[in-house]
Parts: sequence; C-alpha cells; structure tokens
Amino acid sequence: MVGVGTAPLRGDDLLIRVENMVVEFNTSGGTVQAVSDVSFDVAEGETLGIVGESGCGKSTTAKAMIQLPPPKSGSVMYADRDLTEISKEELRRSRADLQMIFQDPISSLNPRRTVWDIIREGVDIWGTAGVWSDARLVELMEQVGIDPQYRDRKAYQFSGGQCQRISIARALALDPKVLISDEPVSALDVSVQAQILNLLDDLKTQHALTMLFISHDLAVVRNVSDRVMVMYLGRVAEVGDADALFANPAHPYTQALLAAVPGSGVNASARLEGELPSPLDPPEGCRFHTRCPHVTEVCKTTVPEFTQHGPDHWVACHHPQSTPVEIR
Amino acid sequence: MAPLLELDDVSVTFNTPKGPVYAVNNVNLSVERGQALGIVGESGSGKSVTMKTVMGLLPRTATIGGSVTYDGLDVFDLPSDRRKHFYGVDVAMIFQNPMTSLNPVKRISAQLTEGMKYHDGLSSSAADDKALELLELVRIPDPKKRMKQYPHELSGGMRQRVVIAMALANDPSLLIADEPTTALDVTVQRDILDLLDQLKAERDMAMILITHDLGVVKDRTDEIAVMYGGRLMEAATTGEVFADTAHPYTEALQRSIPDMTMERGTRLTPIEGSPPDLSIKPTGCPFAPRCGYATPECSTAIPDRMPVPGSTTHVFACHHPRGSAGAVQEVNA
Repeated sequence: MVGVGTAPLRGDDLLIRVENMVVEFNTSGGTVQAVSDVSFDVAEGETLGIVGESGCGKSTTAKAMIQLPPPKSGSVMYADRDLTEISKEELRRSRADLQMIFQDPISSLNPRRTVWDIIREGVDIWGTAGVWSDARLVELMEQVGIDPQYRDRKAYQFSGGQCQRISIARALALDPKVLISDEPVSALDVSVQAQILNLLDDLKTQHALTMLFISHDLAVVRNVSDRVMVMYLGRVAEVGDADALFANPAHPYTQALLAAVPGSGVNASARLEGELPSPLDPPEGCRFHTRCPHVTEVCKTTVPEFTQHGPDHWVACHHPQSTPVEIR
Repeated sequence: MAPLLELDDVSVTFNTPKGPVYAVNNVNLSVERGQALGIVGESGSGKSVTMKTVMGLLPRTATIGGSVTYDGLDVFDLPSDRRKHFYGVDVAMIFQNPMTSLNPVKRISAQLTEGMKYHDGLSSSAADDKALELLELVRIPDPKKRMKQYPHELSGGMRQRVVIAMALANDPSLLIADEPTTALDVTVQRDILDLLDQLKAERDMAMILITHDLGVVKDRTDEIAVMYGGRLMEAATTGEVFADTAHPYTEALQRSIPDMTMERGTRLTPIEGSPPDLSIKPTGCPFAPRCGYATPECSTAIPDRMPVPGSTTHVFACHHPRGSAGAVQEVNA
C-alpha cells in the first residue's frame, strides 16, 4: 500500500516505534480501512497527542499498537521487541507495561465491585501481590485523589470524575511505562476536566510515564502534548512538535480543525465542505482531497508523502499552506 | 417591549422514591424577539430541566412553581387548541443526540412532513415539496436522496440538520437548542452553529442555546445566563459576562478550561470538589463548597440576585462578587 511514508520517524532507539501499521475490519459491507499505513514514534517520557474527527482512526491506532486487535500489517517496536511478532505469552507479559484509560469512566468499571478489588485485580493476576504491598496501593489511591477509607465502596457509588480517578489508579497499579488515554475527559463535567488533566500531569512525572493522549479537543491536546499527530480518515496528515504545529499549521485539514475551535482566532475561511467520506471506500490520492479548499489534479491521484516543514514538523500534503521554518 | 418568553421565579422539584430533588430553584430568564440567549451550565445545573419546563416535557413527578409567559400568555394555562399551536409552531426544540430525536424506522420525508400535515393541513405532495425546501435550507447534500433514506443512513451532522429542518417546519418564533452540537465533531459543530446563526437572522427568530461550553456561546449570543446547582448564578449581556465577570463560578469556569491562547503545558486552575447533590436543599450558595472566595456566610445564607451597579442588564447572586460589582462592594464596606 502506498502511504504517506515514514520520514518523521526519529531513529530506532525510541521507546515506541510504529511502522507502516495497517488496520482493516471486514464487515458485511466490505473492508473498512480504519488505519492505512501509519508510522509514528514516541520517546520515553514524551506525550504524543493524537487528534482528528470521529472515525479518523485515532483510537484504532492506539489500540492496534497494544495489539487490541493486532494490526493487519506493520511493526510495533516497544522497548526493542516487535509486539506483532512475539509469542502470546510474551505479549501478555508486556501488557502490564502498556495500560489504557477510556472515555466513559462509568462503563469502564464494574459497578458492583469494590474500588479495592478493581485496583488490586491486576496485581493479583500477576502474582505480584507479595512485591506490591497493600500500603503501596493505598498510596496510589491517595495519589489519584480517592480517599482510601472508601476502598470498600462499590464503583456505582462514585461520580464520573471519581470513576476516572479509579480507572487511572487501576491502570497505574501495575507500574506501567506507557499510559494510553483515550478521550479521558470528554465525558466529564467541565468543572472536573481540569482536575483530571492536572492529575494526569502530576502522575506522568511521579510515575515517569510515556503517554499517548487521544482527543478531539485541540485546546486540551495542545495543553498536554509534547508532540501532536493529526489524523484524517486513517492516515496521518501532519505530525510534529506541538508548538510548531499549532503555531504554523501547514495541512489544510489541521487549519480547518483549528479554525473550528471557538475563539481560536485562526483564519475562519479555512472551513470544511462536505462530509467525511466512508472508510469503506476512501478517496484515491490524498484522502482529504474531496473536502480540501486547495485541491488540484495531483491530489486526486497521488498520495502525498511527508515533507519536512520545520525542525520537528512534517506534513503530508501537496500544497502545504504555511511557510516552512528554515531547517538548519 | 415585553420579552417574547419570560420565566419568573421558576422552580422544579422532582419527587423521587428517595425524596425530593431540587432541580431548578427560583430562576428568572427572558428572551426578546430575534435575540439569542445562551444558557451555560454543566450536567445537573438545571439548564435542560428549565427549558423542558417551558416545553411541557417534564414527567408527572415534577412539581413546578413560578410562571412562564410567552407573548403575554401563561404557558402553564393555555387552552388546549392554543397549546397545540404553541408547541411546534410558536416554539420548537432540538436536542443533543440527533439519533434519538429521529424515529429509526421511518423515512426522513415522513418525519419531516408529519408536523406540517398536522399543523398546516398540507397535502402529502405539498408537504413533500416543503420538506425538500427545508432540507435545502439546512444545506444537506443531495436532499432528494435523503428524503427517501432512514436516519441510520445519515451521518451525525446530517441527522442534526434534519432535526433542525423539522424544528423549522412551522416557522417557529423561538427555537430552543439543547446542546445541539455536543455529540458532533468540532468541524461539524461549527457548521451547525453557523447554520443556526444564519437561520435566526434570516427569520428573525429568537433562540435559546443551551450548552456546557462557554466558548460556544461567546460569539453567538446576545445574552448569557450561567446556572449552577439549579440556580441562576449570573445573567448579563455576552459582553458583560466576559469583560466584567461578577460570579466566582463564571470566573472559575473560564480559568479551568484550556484555550488555544494559553502557553502549552500551562497548569490549569481546576474547580476542586464535585457538583452539588440536588437532593439536599441548600442552606447557602450551592457553589460555596468549591468556591475560593467562600466565607461562613456563603453556606448559611442563599445570596439574593442583585444588579451590578451601573448596569441594567447584569445580575448576579453572590456574597463576594468579582469585577466591578466586587469593587463597589469593597468601597461600600
């Protein structure tokens, strides 16, 4: 498959390196091309934000990275092992390192189980209960802001924000290296969102986490991310350092996304026409060409490859819309 | 001129098996013809319940107090003929989730024409023509094809456009939009809000836009009402709310949300704690337990709603206001 290329990859010594990942789902209506040749890497301690509209493949990308389900093709290097190649047992052992929290904190927890059971389950399964003292789990509860005296309460007795705190504690109980956060604040009340964002920021430092942060909210992504990857219909449109990408967005899709944020001050004419095409039959060439205000003939036939737009700023577009920053 | 819709001292209590829930308490709101009012609040703030009160959509377990007048008429006491006209012709409402607003087993054409046939007595073919016009008005691509389709065949954005078209079918004077874009992507959100703006201007229609997102109402409304814990915290013109915020809750909301102008990695100022339990009748300001400026007075006395000195449009309910209201209070003390 022709893709946008692997140019933005920064060497092979980073913690996570995903190359040419393809995820397809077979449905009665045909093959859904959910993720088509996506490559990215994440350095240890870094936060990579993934943004895009629903259906762009951002969650599927993160899930396929941890083999849920495994991608159709491509490689996922994590700490020098290819997760797509290793045995089932090795993969199972790796999973403790790679944890995930989800959008809806209430449906993520079994309402009838106690908080203590929920947080402790992974530790019990891994037989590390001897290594991991109860005191350590109590400390973890305190870190996420759940009073340990409520350890025997059941999940349904907690609010959405508190459930997200419990989910975070559950994810961190196994001392993971990587935390994937899939829209972790989207379902929460506005007044509670900042609490969870600040909590994730604290825990990232305390637990030396590497993070993938998936969200459709650009202001949130901009706030938490070191690097940002913009996806459209299963492909990467633009990727790079968060400051560079937001200050100097080059892909027309990134510009349109930014312009849609209320009060962003970005050129309001960069608006999108039409509907997101079906991933069952994505457009030829650049997948964005059906909605792009700058489309030309080449866009309809040729998949644009990444070009460098700044020191750490890459865009997959035939007609990038901002002036590249000089690269020394 | 009298406002088109006026709520005076509206309270709603739900009687549940576990006891009463005080969902809305003494709310006053009004909207003028052709104006847009934004009601901002998070879940449980009472914003949707307040509007459902207007629309007569509350369950029987609700006890309603106060009055709602529309164009001089008492909405709670309409004669039954007038009542049918009021809901659907005078006032229409659109909801957050377009999928649940549409009947999944009926074609778009049938759903769009139902109200026209009922209210205007249009024939099927005349109603079909009008429905097609409405779909064009809300800029649905390929409207002829959409008429024959079912809701599941449309995207979320298109479904919300259909819902808007249905709401406009009888040319309402007031459109109530309850989180019309929350379930949609940001790019689609902007299109739908732009569309509502444009329709409002073209038809001189009043609009009430309910949302949890201050950013959404900032550039699109004439006035804003901020609700919390079933109470009105602050109401003013949109300019006043942002330029001279009086209520600490409004201020805290603005600070807690990351915006695009913030430096990356800026530490957010969260509102600690969680929203109030509405089954407990508050003895003071509902925001007091989470408020940085709270004093003992705040949890013992419910603050009265009062005007910001020098303004005829700006009211707030707080013992320790910010902005110019706070400055005046300090001088007087």
